Amino acid sequence: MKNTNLQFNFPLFLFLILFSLGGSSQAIAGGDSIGQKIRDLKDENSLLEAELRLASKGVSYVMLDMRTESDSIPVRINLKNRGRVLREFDVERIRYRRTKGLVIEPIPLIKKMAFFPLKRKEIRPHKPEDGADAIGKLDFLELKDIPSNYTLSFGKGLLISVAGQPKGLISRFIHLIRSTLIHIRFSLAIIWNHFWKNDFAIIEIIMGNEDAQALYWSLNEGINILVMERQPYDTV
Amino acid sequence: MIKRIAFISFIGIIIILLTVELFAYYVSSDRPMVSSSIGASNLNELIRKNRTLRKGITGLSTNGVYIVIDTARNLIFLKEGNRTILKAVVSSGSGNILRDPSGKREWVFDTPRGEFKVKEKIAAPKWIKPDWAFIEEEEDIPKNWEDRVEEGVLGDYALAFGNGYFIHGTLYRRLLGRNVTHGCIRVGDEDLETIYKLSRLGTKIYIF
Repeated sequence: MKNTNLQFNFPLFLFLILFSLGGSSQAIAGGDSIGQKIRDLKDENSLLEAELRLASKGVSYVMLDMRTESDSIPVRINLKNRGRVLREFDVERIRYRRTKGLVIEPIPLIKKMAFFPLKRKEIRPHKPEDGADAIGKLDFLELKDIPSNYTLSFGKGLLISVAGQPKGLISRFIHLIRSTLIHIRFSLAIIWNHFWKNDFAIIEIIMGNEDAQALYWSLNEGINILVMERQPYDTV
Repeated sequence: MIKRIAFISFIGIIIILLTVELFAYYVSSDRPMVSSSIGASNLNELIRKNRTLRKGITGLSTNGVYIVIDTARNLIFLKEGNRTILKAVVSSGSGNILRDPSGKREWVFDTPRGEFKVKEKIAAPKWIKPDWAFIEEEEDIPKNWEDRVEEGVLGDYALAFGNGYFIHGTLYRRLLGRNVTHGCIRVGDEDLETIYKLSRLGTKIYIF
């Protein structure tokens, strides 16, 4: 009986350990306060310079500023155009690992990858029908058709894995399994890229289901992202 | 015996996974780091640069009224600065595909994304039906331009924002909030009137 309980709870136990290991370090670098301020300002200015370059083009872009993470101010993904926030996506949980610090510059989205990718529906030409029946037969893409679990592959070895917050017991269980597998996959990728000295960064994000779907919908291939790391690193 | 082997294998896998995880954690840079010494930098200069950059970004956004369209939630916002003047439900592109039976042409009914501006304001607009509208309804494509004109389907007003895309009214109010259009933005009559009256030629439209 004891063994059964132990085996049943093991995935949860493993997941908790993996999650706490992967996302727990929130260290603040040492150094005096003026030194820290200079470092922060240099980073901030690099971010603003990169944003100014992007914003001047009049194209939409994404900003992920992980420095804001705290209990009171959650991390947000901001979709912007000309410096204006078009939409904010609240992030419920974020975990970040990389082999090297990310350069603060626009990184283009290369591919959206999902286990159940979005499939466009094909219209079959038909004679028009009048009234409610015709409307009832309409077939179109909706937010519910959009995947809520997916990976965004950007340039410079940046991957952002997004998972919608599951509802219901079965969904949570599937989510748990999926998250664990993805986490292991990315852990192996971190080790692999470390040995081959490749730039590789992985950001794992958990957000509301609808927000995750809307984010997938809103990001087209080619859109640029600016990521600001929360971790102080050597830029001086 | 089998139960015992299965359990030992399971524990073995867990140990391997934990080892991988610990190793990945070790090689990953997201762990406490000790800062290096800081070179000579002028703090005031950095602060000045910061202000200039912030001003530069703020200066890029135009003053006055602008329109934001969220195609995922099917919402339109009429805004001025940070103030929202109007928020309304719309219908945007279905994302569906239509193929010409000849196989030579294909249309994808997405609403375009990005920055646009109001290029034309039209009262009592007439719809000049494009080829796909005839193909979709299994009709022959007319040779005369006059045969393409259809009145009353676009509502009372239309705002053109380029490449044949419009913000316009609709006969199908019950479909507002759903992605059913061929790329245009359909708005309810009253909301459309407000948008039409408050926007000018050149008013920016941001679609995402």
